[in-house]
Amino acid sequence: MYGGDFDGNAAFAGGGFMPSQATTQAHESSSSLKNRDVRTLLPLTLKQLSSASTTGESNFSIDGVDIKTVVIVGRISRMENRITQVDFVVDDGTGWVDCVRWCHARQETEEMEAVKLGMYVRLHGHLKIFQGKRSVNVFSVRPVTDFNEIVHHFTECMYVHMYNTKLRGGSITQDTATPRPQMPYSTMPTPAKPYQTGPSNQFPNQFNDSMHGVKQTVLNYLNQPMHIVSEAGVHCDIIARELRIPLLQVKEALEQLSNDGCIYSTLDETCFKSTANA
Amino acid sequence: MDTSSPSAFVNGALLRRFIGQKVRTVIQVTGSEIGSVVGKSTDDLQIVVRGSSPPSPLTTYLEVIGIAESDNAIRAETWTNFGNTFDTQNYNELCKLANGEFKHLFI
Repeated sequence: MYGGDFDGNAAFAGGGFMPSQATTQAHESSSSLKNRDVRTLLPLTLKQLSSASTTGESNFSIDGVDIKTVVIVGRISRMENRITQVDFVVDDGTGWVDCVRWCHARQETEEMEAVKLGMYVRLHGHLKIFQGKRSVNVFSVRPVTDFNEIVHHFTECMYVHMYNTKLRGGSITQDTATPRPQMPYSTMPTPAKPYQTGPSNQFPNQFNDSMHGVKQTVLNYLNQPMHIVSEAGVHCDIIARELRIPLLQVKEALEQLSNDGCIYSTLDETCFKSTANA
Repeated sequence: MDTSSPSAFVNGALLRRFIGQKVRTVIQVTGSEIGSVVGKSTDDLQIVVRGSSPPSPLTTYLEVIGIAESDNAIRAETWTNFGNTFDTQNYNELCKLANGEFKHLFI
């Protein structure tokens, strides 16, 4: 039957050399949904990649998230074309890593022909470890043509790190009460599972909960769907009035939340909006 | 894989923190002579870049990776033309974050 959900496992299991096949199938027996949740796409700096903890040959994790596919943006500092593969080194300024791109199909060979020594590239691949040495098994390499992409990549690395350590970390306590799989940040969030933190902390019935500080209360307020969809955000006077919190405290909380990357100012420095997804 | 000799993202003001070390920066080229390029850093300070074989022709924005020689000079090892449109403000903010709150992800 066509038109159903794309199942990466089924598609990849058909043939070819897929070293991770055995491990993914092992997980599948527990729950295929769970398996899908852990299939992450993480933008990382090589410093982060080298500090990722490992439990075996291909199991890595960072900031509490299992690493499956990584995105790296860097400059090719060494390159060697072989018959079946291209070996190269990518340097992103935080470090360098050996990469291998296997070229079987013509399309793969053509993709690699567009890549030259000294170029900046964006690559997708799997992190491998062999005899203690980490390398990346690359399956996509694209030359960077707009150099703002480099700035964007590193900004995204910082955002994802912050999301997975602070924002996501904050909702883990809730998960213990109502266990459910938590979607780690991925650059391709599906509409069904947005990567914002648990929705249960976003509603007004918790406003006077003494467990939450002013910061959390203000964030909960701004995370209400009606405020998330509003383009202009909410004026700090209105927040203070609605929440019956002194304006000074609200302003202080807004500043801290803004520094934490949870909210941002819109029209001017008095109107704020949550960074959570609409 | 190795992370022992990173090149830090710097703007003009951050350069002095890395004298003798490897840095990377983007300048807006204002002039060039044989063996050196003068440009404006993303925070509007003048930087002189020395070193052999800068690319020719140069685009408006130029990335330089090399050793910080002083608080306004870099000895280039690698030059990359970054084209004629580049958001220097974003780059400047990246430099600050990469040497501040998120330093541990970079160097």
